[in-house]
Amino acid sequence: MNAVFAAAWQRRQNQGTVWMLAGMGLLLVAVPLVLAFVAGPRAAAASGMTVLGIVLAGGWASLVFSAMQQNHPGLARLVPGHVASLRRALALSWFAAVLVFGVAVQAIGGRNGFEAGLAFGLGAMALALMLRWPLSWAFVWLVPTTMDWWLHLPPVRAAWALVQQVDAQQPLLLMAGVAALAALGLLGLIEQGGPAHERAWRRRQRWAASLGAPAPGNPRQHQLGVPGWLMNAATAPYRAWMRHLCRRPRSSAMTRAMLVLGPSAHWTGHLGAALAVAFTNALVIVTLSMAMPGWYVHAPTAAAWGLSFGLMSFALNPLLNSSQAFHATRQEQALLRLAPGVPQGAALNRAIALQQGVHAVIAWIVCAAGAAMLSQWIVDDARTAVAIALSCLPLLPGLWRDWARAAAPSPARMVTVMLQLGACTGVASVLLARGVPLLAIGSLAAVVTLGLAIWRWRALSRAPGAWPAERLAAGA
Amino acid sequence: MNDEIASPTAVVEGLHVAYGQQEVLRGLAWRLQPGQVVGLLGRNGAGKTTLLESLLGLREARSGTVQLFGHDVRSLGDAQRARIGYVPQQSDLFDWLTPAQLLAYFRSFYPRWNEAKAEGLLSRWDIARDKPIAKLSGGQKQRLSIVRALAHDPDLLVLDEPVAGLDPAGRRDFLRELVERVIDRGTTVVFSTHILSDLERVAFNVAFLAAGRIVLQAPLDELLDATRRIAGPAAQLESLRRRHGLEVLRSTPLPDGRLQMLVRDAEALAPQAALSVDSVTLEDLFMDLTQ
Repeated sequence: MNAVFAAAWQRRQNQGTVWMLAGMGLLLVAVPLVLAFVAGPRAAAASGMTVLGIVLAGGWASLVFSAMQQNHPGLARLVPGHVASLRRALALSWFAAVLVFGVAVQAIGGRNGFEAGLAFGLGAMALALMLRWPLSWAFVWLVPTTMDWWLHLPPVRAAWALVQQVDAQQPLLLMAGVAALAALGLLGLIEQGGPAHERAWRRRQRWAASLGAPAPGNPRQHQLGVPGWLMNAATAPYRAWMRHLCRRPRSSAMTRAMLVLGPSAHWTGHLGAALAVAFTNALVIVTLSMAMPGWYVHAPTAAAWGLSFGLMSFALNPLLNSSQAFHATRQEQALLRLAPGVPQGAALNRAIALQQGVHAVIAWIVCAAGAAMLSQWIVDDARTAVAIALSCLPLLPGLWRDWARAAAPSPARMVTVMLQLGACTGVASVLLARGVPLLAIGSLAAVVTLGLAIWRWRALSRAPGAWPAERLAAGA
Repeated sequence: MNDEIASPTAVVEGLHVAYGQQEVLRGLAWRLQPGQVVGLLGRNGAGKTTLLESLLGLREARSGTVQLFGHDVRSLGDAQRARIGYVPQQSDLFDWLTPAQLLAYFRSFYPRWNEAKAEGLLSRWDIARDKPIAKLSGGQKQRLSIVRALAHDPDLLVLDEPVAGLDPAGRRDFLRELVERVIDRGTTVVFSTHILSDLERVAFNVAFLAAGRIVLQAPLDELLDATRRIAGPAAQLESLRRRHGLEVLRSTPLPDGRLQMLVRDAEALAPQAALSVDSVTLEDLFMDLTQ
């Protein structure tokens, strides 16, 4: 079992992401401390528990990811005790996380630690199962969006009443029930070889390959069923735009060259993905409306927040996707660099930056306007959505990188962007809570963004040509 | 233009390229004449890909210069770039497109595009025009990459292990195409490969890369005809070398105090008492010169 923990640690070491653990620890201490000064001890305790929950759940998910990678069908079948070791390691770490969280809640709140621990345990297990079955991420949107409806369903209310009764009278029975659910989850997470395991492994490999590929809509996605079909449909505007440009020999060479990054980092891919998501959501809403007339009467605040959050994460897609796209198409960029008409050196950097910048700003404007309108419509308050959107602005100049020296993308890069987003959102929320007007927040965001943009633009003029990316990275 | 054609296609001088502390190319000098076909040989990790990428300006040098068609490779204009064809080692490029889309895309960049040649090669090599590239076999991807590089009739064709992913039939077809359509057109061709028999079929020149330098470049026939491996007492070998003006490519001490030498310009040498003289194959040269 120690080998399982060691492998997870070594993976982090080899990827150079050990520092993230230190970052998490710092977050755990810094957030409650800052909030204790700004918003008082109560808010500090609540936020401290939230951060602890996120850190514990993140750590558990990371361990699950590592264990799933180790759970190869061949090893599961041939290596004695491998499956049992993986399951034991996950069970032990799950139990430890539940215990830590429950005790912490009990120590700070004085009560409900037991229930909080169990709820956390179920949440962590749900997170792990989402890693195992990626399509279940849809529940992250569906569950809160439809919460107001399903919480009132008679079977759900009856089940909830039963849980409360058992909790009051037989807490150990409740604990045993949760443990049984967790054990079932573990059985699903770690498989023991055989054809079903083999199929599931291959399916996950295909998912990983399609997510790592430069293009959603990569032909490999025909093997992914409906999601693959949707991804393919999402790239239709990219293909149409390419046909259009190639038919017009006078179109700008740089406009054509930008197609090299694939749909995931191109505005046509972004537009296609937005249309595909809108189509899917519309389909869900129409189906729900037909199956349960009047369900939207109870449309909760959560729906507004869910949609606003989704829109703003969409606005940051150019930022999140560009690293992967630049990395995955390095060889293609080399061919483009040799093609006539494509700018070279600093001119290439500026041309790429300009196209990316326009793309990112338009995406931001559309998504911010959408989030504000939705919030205004559903909860009659667009202030928070606008503040969050404004707080995202300073992240956009992060697109303008020295791609020739950039390192290959890693999960750490993604986490860094998300942490930056979290920090910006936190600052915006605190400023809003302290009564700072939106105009002032907007002005501050604009000044910071402008400063960063000028600094990055000047750096790009001195940087070596962006293509092929990563050729001058340390260790390349 | 005539001056450009008469001048060397590529001139590399004092090229140093390093990855961090590891120096891969160490003051490399190289010259490619118009119409020359050069097979680049070197062990794994010798720096063949680095050299080819540096030749095309895709990799920054620590020092040294590279000139293509008389221009600094760092500031090639559109006219010079239109004369270059490149087949990188990795063949699964643009795998989110179909072959037809890929060729239409590249056609939009090049002022000269031989549509008939591209279509002919697609048909001859049995590459489906509308099948996603990701679903083509490794060999078909490699062939498509070659079609893309040949379609604009380049004057300099650089191929990084172009036949590594092809089966023997594919290799034969590719080499035939290379000889009939490219070499006869007077195109300068540089390609790296590990398959020595292929190189023997088409390369009129071979260049050996070792220790970060081109240690030898010569016409292949001349090299095989005039290179010998001789072994014998050190003093006798030295006297022989001086007398015949032999160029020593490599000298290796043998356990019994004797010496073994790989020498050039030795076609007239015949075995003598206590002295062995053997012909060499390309594989022998590869093993000796790339150590």
